[in-house]
Amino acid sequence: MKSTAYQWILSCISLWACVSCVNDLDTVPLTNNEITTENAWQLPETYASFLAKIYAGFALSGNEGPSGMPDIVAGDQGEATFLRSYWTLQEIPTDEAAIAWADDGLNGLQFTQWNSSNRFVELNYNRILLNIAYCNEYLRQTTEEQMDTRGMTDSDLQNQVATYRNEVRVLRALNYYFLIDLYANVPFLTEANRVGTELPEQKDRAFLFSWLESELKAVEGQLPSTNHNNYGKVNDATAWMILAKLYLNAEVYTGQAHYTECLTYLHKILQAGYHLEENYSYLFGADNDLSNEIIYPIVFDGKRATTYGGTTFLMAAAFGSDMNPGTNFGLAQSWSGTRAKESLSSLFDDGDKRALFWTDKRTQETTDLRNYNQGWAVIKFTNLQRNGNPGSDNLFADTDFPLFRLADAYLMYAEAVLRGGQGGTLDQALELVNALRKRANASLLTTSSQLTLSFLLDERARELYWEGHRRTDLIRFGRFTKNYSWPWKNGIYAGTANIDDKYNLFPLPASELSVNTNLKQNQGF
Amino acid sequence: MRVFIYFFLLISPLLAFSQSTLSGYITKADGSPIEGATVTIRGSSISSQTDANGQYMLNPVPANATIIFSFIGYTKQELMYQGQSTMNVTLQASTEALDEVVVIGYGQVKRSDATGALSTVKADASTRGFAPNAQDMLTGKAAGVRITNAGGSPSAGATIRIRGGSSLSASNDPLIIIDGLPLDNTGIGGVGNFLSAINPTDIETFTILKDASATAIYGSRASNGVILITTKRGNTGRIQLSYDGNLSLSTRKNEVDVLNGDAFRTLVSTTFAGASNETEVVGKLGTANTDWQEEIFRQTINTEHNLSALGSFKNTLPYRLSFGYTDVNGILKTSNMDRLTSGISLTPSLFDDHLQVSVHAKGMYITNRFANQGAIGSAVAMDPTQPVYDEDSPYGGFFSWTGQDGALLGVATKNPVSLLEMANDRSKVYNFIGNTQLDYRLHFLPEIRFNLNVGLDYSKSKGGKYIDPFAPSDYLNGGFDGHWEQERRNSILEFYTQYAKDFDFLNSHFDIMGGYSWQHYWTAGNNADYRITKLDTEGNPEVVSINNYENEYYLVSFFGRLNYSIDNRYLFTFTLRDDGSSRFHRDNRWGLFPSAAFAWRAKNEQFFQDVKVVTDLKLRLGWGVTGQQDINQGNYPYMGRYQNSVGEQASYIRGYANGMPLWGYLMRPTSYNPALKWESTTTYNAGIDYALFDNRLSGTLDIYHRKTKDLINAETRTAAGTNFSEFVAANIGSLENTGIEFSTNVEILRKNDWKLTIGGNVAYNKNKIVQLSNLDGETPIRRYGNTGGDGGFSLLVHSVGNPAGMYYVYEQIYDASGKPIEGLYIDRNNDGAITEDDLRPYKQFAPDWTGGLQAQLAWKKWDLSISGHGSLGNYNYNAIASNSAELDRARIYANEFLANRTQSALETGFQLKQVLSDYYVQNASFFRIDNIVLGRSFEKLCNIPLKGRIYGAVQNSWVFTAYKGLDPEVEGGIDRDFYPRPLTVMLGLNVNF
Repeated sequence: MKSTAYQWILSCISLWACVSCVNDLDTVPLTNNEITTENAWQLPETYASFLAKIYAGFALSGNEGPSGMPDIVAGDQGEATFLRSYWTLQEIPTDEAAIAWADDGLNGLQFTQWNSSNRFVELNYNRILLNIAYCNEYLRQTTEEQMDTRGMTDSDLQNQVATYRNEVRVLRALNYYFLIDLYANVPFLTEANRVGTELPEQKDRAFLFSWLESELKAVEGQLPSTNHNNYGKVNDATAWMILAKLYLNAEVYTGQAHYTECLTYLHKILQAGYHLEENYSYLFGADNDLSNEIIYPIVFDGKRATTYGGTTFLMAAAFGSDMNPGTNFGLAQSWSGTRAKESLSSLFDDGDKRALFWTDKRTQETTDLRNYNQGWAVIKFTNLQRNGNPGSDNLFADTDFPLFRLADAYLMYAEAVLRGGQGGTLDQALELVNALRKRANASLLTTSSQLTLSFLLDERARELYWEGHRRTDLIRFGRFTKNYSWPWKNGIYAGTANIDDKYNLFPLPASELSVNTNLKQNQGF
Repeated sequence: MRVFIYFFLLISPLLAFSQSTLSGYITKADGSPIEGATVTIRGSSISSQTDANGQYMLNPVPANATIIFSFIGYTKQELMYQGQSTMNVTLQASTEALDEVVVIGYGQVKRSDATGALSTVKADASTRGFAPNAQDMLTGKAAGVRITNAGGSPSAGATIRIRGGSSLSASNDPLIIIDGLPLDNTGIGGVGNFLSAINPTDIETFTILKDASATAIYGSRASNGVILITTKRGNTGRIQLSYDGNLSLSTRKNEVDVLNGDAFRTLVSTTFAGASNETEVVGKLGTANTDWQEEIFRQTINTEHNLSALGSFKNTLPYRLSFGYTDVNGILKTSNMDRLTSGISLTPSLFDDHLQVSVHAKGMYITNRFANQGAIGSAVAMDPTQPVYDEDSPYGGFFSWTGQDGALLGVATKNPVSLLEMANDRSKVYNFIGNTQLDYRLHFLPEIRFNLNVGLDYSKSKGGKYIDPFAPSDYLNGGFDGHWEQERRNSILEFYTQYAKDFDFLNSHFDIMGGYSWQHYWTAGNNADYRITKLDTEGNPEVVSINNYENEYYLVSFFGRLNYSIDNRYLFTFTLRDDGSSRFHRDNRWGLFPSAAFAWRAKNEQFFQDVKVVTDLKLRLGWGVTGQQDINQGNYPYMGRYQNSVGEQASYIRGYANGMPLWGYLMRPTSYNPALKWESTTTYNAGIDYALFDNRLSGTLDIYHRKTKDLINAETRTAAGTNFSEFVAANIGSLENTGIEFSTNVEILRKNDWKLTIGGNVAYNKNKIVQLSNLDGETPIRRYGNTGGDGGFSLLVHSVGNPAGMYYVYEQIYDASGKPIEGLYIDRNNDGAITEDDLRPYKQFAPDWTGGLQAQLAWKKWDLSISGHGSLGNYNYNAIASNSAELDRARIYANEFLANRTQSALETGFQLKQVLSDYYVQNASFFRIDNIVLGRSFEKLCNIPLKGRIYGAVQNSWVFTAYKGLDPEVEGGIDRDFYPRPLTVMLGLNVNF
């Protein structure tokens, strides 16, 4: 009797102990570095800081600078940033840049011989779609209903958030713009898709083109105003610029020309209050945030927004140690990688102030691709302020990246007119182009007959080289896969003029195809 | 003679109350006499030895004496003398293989009754060589258990693999339990090897549970095997003090074959002859002949002192007290570990043995200085024509590469000696491990037993890293001054009850056990890292990172076991464990892990009794399911969470206000998978435990097959855009391990004063990935690992149908003389180009065969032991050779500095490095002689009656291998920056009083 009583008491105690302890299994993160979703959206700061993350999706690699808490798995976090991977895809396979490194994937790009396992393709694709995933999540969580349910009913906050949402829509559109240009046939996701579950559908360029049109036109006029206090944010001019680029490239994307619409939006940009910077090199220095020419920058800072990608990469990869870059350019990093091919460096007249090259102990020809000293080093981007002082840090650049700037709009205007768009004049086009050439101290065009498409392609190189436009431009002018040879195209120094047309597009990464069975690979890959 | 004795025996009862004589025969179980057996009287010095007929005689025998009959290799018997004149005794053979009690999960069992596959390794002081860490005593001793330390560093951790790994992304480490307290495998901050908390001289035995029928009782943590460590206990009787100390000398054995100063000068002059920059390059050469590897390594002296006291307080409280001090200096300059350990163990038995109490507490205080292992790679690459020191150098007086302008070159090789001497990376750790176990057998119902185990593993560590701002490695960054702290508190509460009963029906024995376990793991820490000379906008040292973290997880389990044996011949065991982990979502939290085993003690069968050759034979069959929840995705992988950015450097601008930029920190959602759950591994095991020739030959043979399903693949790709990372941890995949293990122990000689025993074990394991994604018909692969150096490539691959972790390389084509042709590989898909599609899985770093060999020879008071271990079929990737093999001008002289080359670079003659060539995947099969120990025991030292032993040992004396790199035993296979294992010569003394 005694024994059973004891046993019964003991088992009761242990049962009670067990039940209470089982509840211990419901744990939550203990620090406030990590909070649950619901808790996060009940803090007013989240609405601004998640927005900041979406902006930073073009600049940084993760949540701790320069390479910590990464967003994307990669051995080199610099390569996993948007700007560096985008620049690599847009410049290395063209007549502008040569790179001495043989890192996995670079040869495929340099020689225009890439395939679907190319590492930079994968990094860039994943980065852009991660940005889109963030945008969609933001839009999902910040609807008025959601905010009301969470008790975030303060009208100031709700008004602010309404503008934030429009900014996010423009950022999402900008991400899709890159997708339509680089990959064409991509998975399409909006806030209507739920996280994690369904496999997204693939959409082609035609669909994306009209979706982008409607999206950007829907938020036009409801974005932050264009003034210095809103530096770094998207504004109407940014939305117009994306539309203008869409329309300019419409023949490539959809087969139909839209040059007239392109000019409509270019006019709006020309009247938005931007001015050309007097000194070309100020556009690419440590304090280029003071410029009135840049329409939308990707912002970096040597102390506050650091990464091994971005403008730090653009500079460090271009500098060699014999250039004494710390003293001469404000950034004491010299990775000896990129330099200009002769197809770029020979385009400039003597005295053209845009020809920012280092030629000492360099050859102009790039006969030995692996030798960094062959080819002039590009010193367009520097970490020096206007007054010659260096930026705030000697290892990470303050220089912002001008994604869209007024000079580009000028050249687009000229091109749209030449291609038959209505609403612009050839005289105006000549004036705009001459404004750029005057700034550059290059000889002015005297007659409008000198303004040809071929001239414009070269002028775009002279004005916009190293800014991530070249591949798109060459494709639009029909000179990327056909009718134009440059050093190392197709793997040989002499180049090959005509290569397979499939290279007008990048393939979808092979790793993505093995997961999303809804996707079909781009033709030829 | 015999008649005389018989006569005396007949009248001995008359002499009972005065002096008496006792005699008799000592025989073995089969009736044959034992010669040389000892008969003693407890408390007296009277003893006798049996003659060739097994007969002994004791005289005088006091009344009520206890007579002890013993012979090595047989179970001792103690009988009360009750005045009889004859005592004939049969002694039963016993070695480690039979009646010894082994610890299993939640209990103990006689080895002969064990139904699972387990190995026991006794911590034998006489064969122990240089072993500052606990796992050093296990190397090569147990079949199927492979221990690889991370190199010769004093704080090197070790990788322990039992029967191959059963996971890809989750941990492959076994569960380690000390005296009933499980250790957290994630380790302690500041300590390289989490087993360093335990002083090896405190360990009594290691029991390794290998198959699921033995490990399933540990359920969710047991998929990779379990190692149970039992420490030494107190003893009844008088106090025994013991001192065990040693002094050892460690020295480097070999070095990477790089060019010396003269050879490098020749190489540079010939390569740049006629080049446009010839004067510049040749001008950079120095005049010295520096052997950089010689400069960074040193000979060191290490010492260990251990003191222990063993006894029983008032004969009721057995205790053991121990103190230890270890000082190991690594052969890489500045590396060092100092450790103080102490332990106390109390094991009283109260209430007439009804309540067994054991209290164990161990404390450890360790200080480490970690040397920068990058110095090893730097020493291989550094220009041998430059001197170590340069008076004019502002960088600590060390030679450093500077550019034209005199500024330090950021990308150049850093002076290896400066990497060691101008940095100070240290840690201080306190660790306490303790637990109390109460085992109570009910007074009124002794078949029922309750056991309560409460334990705590607490550690507090802190450390920091200081790099001089003038150090070449960090001059451009402005130095480094970082501090960190960590506190860990792991606690466990376990309770179980057991009911055991014998039945007459079929002569059965039955016991059932049920229990509950609650475990809590909590860690918190922070770090603050600053620059020294680089200042931020306010003039304070710039912040590199400031972080704090705190996380915890809980495990709650219910478990039970049922043992049923029939007539000591047929043994059945069933276990079941239900585990809940806080790491998974409610719906996936609980996992059920059953197991079943059957053993047949063949020797106890009638028809076996007469088979003299076989002393024991047991056949075992086991099946079980175990789990794995030691994932590496943190403690909350199933929950959607938002994370703040850390530090100043990850912010974005939100416009300006009053001319000042507005920087805001970032917040991002993390990817999550609410469906994440346990991995589970099912194991089938069949084994034989055998003992032949009167126990002179014994061992085991096991065959097993393990299948892991719901394999957690931490890099399961998500469709881009659907989640907040391109990878999420998901249960997709399965893998298999199949293998065979054989171990044997042979007593070759036991005659006169000689004794020779040889033991060995060998195991074969074959690993195969069965599935890596949930798409049928796809053969996905996952690439990882890195060839190292700048622009490294993914080197390893997990692919379906192949073992995990194979090298993914091109197939090299060789010329007629066997030299590889640069860049020429087999074009597997015949598309005319060498691309990623031409890579293929080739060889693996995990071995096919592993084994160990131990031999012990004893003669009178001398003993000699040799032990070694090896493996077959493991391949290393010689990253040192592959990254050095580029002789092109632009690679030897790039960025204004010269880098040295290895001999292998000259042999291949490659102009540009070919890191993905299978030429560098080299066979690293080896056999290493771990320890050679020679010792002499003594009974008195300089006429003082002290017992003890003096010994000398050599560790790592020889490695038999064809591998061309430094050391074939590299965990993970990629040979780069490997801290070489030294040759150690040791002299030790053990004294007991």
